[in-house]
Amino acid sequence: MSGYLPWWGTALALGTLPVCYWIALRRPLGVSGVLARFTRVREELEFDRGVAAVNNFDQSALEAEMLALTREAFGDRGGLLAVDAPSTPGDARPAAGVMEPARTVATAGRACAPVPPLASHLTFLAMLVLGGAVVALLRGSWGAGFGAAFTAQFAAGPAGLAALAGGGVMVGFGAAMCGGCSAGHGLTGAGRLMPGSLVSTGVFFAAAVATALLLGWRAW
Amino acid sequence: MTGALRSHLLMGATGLVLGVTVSAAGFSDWGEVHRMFSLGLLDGGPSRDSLRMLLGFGGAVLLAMAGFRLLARHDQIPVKPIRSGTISGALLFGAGWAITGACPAAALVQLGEGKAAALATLIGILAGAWLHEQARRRFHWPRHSCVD
Repeated sequence: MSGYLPWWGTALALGTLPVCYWIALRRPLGVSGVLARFTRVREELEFDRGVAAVNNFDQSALEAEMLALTREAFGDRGGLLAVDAPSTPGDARPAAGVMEPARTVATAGRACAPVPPLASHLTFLAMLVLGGAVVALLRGSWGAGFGAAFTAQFAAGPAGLAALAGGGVMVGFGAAMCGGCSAGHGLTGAGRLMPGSLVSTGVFFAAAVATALLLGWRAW
Repeated sequence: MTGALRSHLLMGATGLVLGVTVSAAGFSDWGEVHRMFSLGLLDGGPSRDSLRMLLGFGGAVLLAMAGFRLLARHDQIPVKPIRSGTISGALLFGAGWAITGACPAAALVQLGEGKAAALATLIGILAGAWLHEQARRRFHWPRHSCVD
């Protein structure tokens, strides 16, 4: 034993986190996509401004504006726009001119919130770093390095750094390509039985097992 | 402003809990990650100890399944369908995870643990994400809908 959490402790913490996160923030928990936002900061800040503009916009003002434009284009036909008249008496659609607001159409459960601002994603990433620091300081292992198993595999110095950078490119490219990482696909997506996530999680675990066994070939 | 503050607090709390868990569970320890992925086959066959993290992850997925089913069954969470890049992307990600011993969250946690070499992993991950975006634009691959 190496002083790590037992399996049930890991399961309890990692299993409840994505569910709590969804309920509190109405967002699917993930890390790779958040990290990827920081490779295009200018675009993402512009995107944030767009989201903020939509959020602050008055919905009824928008509806009134669209109604006015529609009248302008098609003429005023009666008191209200007769665009949705039932074709048969048994038709369940609302009566002419009565528009059902979009939010009552999609009623089931909580809706997904818009992407949070880049600044709060920066907080998220910074606190991940802090979490690692807290545990390492409590354990007294801060700055101890990658450990003997790593140096036995890649040797310290440039070779090891090249392996980490090259592997990192595979992690970043792969996660963007399959649309998630061990958090977004493995916990949140697989936890919700999403086909893309179940396949991704199965495939990346299998690929990791194959790679680890190949890396350990010399030790066989 | 309160909305922004709430977002910072909740995101920060999630980051801290995730960071502490990743570190305390061993997901930021190259040797432990390697032992998880080699299923203990390289050091004396699978054992309760060498399968500890795999069981932890599997248990977490089952718990998340139960949680989402019980508490968020009718919620409109964005779907994740199988796409053209799903299998090749996951193959790359898995191989990279085994080489670096770090998923994206663990690379940041390693930095916090004072493992300076993790900076190489982090730069690699950012470069990989950037390269994918360039390739996606060049070859007109579809954009994944959601941030995660």
